[in-house]
Amino acid sequence: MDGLPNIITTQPSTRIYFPRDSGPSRRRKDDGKHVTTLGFGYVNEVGRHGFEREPFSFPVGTVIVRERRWSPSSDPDRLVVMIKREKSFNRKANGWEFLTINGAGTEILKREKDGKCLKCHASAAQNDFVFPMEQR
Amino acid sequence: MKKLSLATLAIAVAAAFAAGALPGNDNHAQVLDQISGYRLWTKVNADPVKVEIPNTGTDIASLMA
Repeated sequence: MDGLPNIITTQPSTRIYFPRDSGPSRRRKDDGKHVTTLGFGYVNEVGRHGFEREPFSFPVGTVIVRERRWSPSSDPDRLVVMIKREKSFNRKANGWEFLTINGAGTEILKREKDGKCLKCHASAAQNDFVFPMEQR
Repeated sequence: MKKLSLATLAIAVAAAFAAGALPGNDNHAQVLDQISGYRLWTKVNADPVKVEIPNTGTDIASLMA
């Protein structure tokens, strides 16, 4: 059993020890206060020009999708979406609706006008609630 | 008469919601259809950007929302 140092078998149970530097613990930063994910962002044709200069400004109909991945090669497990609607839809966020969708894009898990989404995006209010490239 | 008007209004509003006619109340299928094929859209960032989410010990997915 030299090839399996992480498996210890003693009657009547078997214990498997995973190396500390693999698995979910890699997602966590050293400080333990944050979890690091990777973001790949996409914007539809309507909103494409909104990113061209700061401060950003996006027309109604803009849709921004950001994938959440745990590594560059993994499939997204969540899509975080912003849809720009008429300002009257959500005056607090200049018309934006925030959605969380499963990674396959087949199920909406949450949609909101404020809450945690707006709380964070409010810090980018001067950029039409969209974070600049380096913060996205 | 007033009661009848209110009832009519309530039915009209409910029907509008069901049909997704009111702004912001698109049905889910419509939204999912809207984002399908998003990978063909313009990429906002050429390389993946690290996104740090506060770790409060609760469900990570809920923090992303």
